[in-house]
Amino acid sequence: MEPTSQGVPGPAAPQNEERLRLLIETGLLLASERSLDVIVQAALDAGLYLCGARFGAFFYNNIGVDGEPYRLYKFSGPDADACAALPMPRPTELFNVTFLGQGIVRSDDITLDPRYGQNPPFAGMPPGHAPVRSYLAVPVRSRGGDVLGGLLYGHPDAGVFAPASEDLVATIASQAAVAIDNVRLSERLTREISLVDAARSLQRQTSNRLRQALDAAQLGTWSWDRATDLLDLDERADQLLHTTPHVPITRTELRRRIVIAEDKGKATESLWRSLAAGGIYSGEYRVDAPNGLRTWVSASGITTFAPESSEVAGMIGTIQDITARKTQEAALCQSEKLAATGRLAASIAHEINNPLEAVTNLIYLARTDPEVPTPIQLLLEAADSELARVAQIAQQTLGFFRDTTRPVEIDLNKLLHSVVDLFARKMISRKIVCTLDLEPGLCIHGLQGEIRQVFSNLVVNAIDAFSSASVSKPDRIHIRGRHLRGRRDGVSILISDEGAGIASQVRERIFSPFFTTKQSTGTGLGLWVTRGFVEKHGGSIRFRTRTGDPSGTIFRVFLPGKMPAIGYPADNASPRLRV
Amino acid sequence: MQTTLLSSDSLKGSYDPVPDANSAAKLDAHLPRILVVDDEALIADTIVQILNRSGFIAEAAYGGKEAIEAARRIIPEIILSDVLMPHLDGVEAAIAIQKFLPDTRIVLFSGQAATVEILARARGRGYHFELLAKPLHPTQLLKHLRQS
Repeated sequence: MEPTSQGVPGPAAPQNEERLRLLIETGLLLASERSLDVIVQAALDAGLYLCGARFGAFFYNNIGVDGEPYRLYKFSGPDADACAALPMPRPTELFNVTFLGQGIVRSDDITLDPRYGQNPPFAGMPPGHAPVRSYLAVPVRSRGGDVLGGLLYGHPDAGVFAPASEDLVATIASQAAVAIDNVRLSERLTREISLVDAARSLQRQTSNRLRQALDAAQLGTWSWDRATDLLDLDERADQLLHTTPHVPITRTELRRRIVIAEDKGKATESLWRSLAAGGIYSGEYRVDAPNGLRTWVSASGITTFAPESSEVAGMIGTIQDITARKTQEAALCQSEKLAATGRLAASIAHEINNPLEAVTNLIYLARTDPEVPTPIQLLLEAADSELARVAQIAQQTLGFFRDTTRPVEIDLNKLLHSVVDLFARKMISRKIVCTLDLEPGLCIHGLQGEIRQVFSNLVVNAIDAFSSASVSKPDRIHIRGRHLRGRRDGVSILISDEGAGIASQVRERIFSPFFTTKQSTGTGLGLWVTRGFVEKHGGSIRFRTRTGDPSGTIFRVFLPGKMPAIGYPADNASPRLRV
Repeated sequence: MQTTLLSSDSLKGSYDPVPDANSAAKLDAHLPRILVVDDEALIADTIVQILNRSGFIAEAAYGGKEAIEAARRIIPEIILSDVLMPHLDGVEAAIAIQKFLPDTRIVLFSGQAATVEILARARGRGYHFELLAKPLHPTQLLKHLRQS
């Protein structure tokens, strides 16, 4: 916009119509403009033109990106160039009227104003300032009353600014104020929107990171509402708890559906405890999938509160599959038990075997002494056979008897027949029929004594599985042997009985040492030793059992064709064993 | 009390064998000589008595060093030795004896599970010894010793 017609001295105010048009155009421009610079310049120029000044300045306060206000200025008019290097106006009495928003100052000759020239160092206009006599200063105030800046005009001649000019510049000032207000509002909005955007993006990042962390830890999340008892599960939690996605389910129902009976109390107790006391809930329990697969899960959570309330509204937390950990723990526990038992057995073996040897010898000497009367010899014979039982138990159970031989080729057909023969008398007396169905040529490479022990133990258990009460039909034991070809070549031997089956509460423990169901007659070491030997041979032992009607148990022993090599310690590497 | 009870009986057995066994030994020079080694005197002495009654000429030694000396003296056909003994264990003693009596049959006799490992060590040095587990009934012991 072109300011005042240059070179025209004195009042050169445009005609009313032209003024009005300019006012409207400026108003429209200001209303649509979003650049503070352009607004300030347009308002300044319009004011200059409307009041016919030779010099104009717009000092305005701006807000920095840091939120701190600072003052800028623009000059306009033919004499403006002379002012470009001038310092900022100082808070003098005259300027304060404008910059504190106290009112408009219009003077026909400012140099005559009593407030003019009172301030050091210049006592008037600074050197280089265009000469000013006519003076018009209008504060620019926002709707809220804040002073946004001031429009200042000057003319070297006195009496240039008419009262009408004052009104026009005041109008321009208020239009500028609205425009600046709008710009600031829009800037603030933009700033806020970008803050919200930043917050949202941060939230997205955090949420992504959380999701990744949850994925990495294979954690599912859940929340529980106390009032409705409803659970909200994420995808992984749905998988872990075998629930259908997006189908509402209550905690009670879920618990009833999947948590196994033994663990139901555990899970609930922990929940109520943490609800009552606040703090962290954690529970580990087993769940059954619809396909029968059983897994261990661990859930932990913290209580949530209703807004502005101390009342517990529910809980939020995570859930994860800990089956692997539990299995490892059990295995570790088992192997620790085995190691401890092994050490115990070894130390007991020595302590027991030596006195047993001595007593056996003493009884033998007494019994075979021809001077000992027959009735006493009979007593000693009884003592001898009882002692033989003790010796046998000690040998079998204290793990002394180890095969000292090297692994050999074992003919399982022959071995199984001889094991069955060994117990034939016992089976006949209990009316048990034992059948064998063995493929020819079942051979493995292993330690003869241990393999014999494995099948002896299993056959003895099969015999003991029958309660003496059943007389209606003959009890049957069936032994089946097959070659296995596949990932690992070997043989599979099934030993099945139609006995009472193994009660569900003891199934997990039958391979543990010192666990027995045979009260006084069992040592609790048979199956433990059996599994030890089978696993030493690189094989596996499994069982299936049923206690209902019909009842029975099947043990399946897999033995690979060749047992893994057992390293004998090198001579110089082995520790010296002394007693 | 046990020691007292036995020392009279067993010592008599080992150093002053019962007349019939003694005379049998004199009569039949082919009776096998056997050295029984165990740091538990009760076990060594009772086995010596049982063997002397059963057609062997047995003598007891109560440690590894003693066993080596006795072996030099009596040149036994068989040595029946405990494995885990203080000072010099049965395997070391057996190896030492085997060096100067290569034809003597050595039977080790142990109540310890760890024996298997010790035996494996001897095997690693080229010595193959028989191993019997304690407790072993005298009838089985005699049966084993009579098998060549």
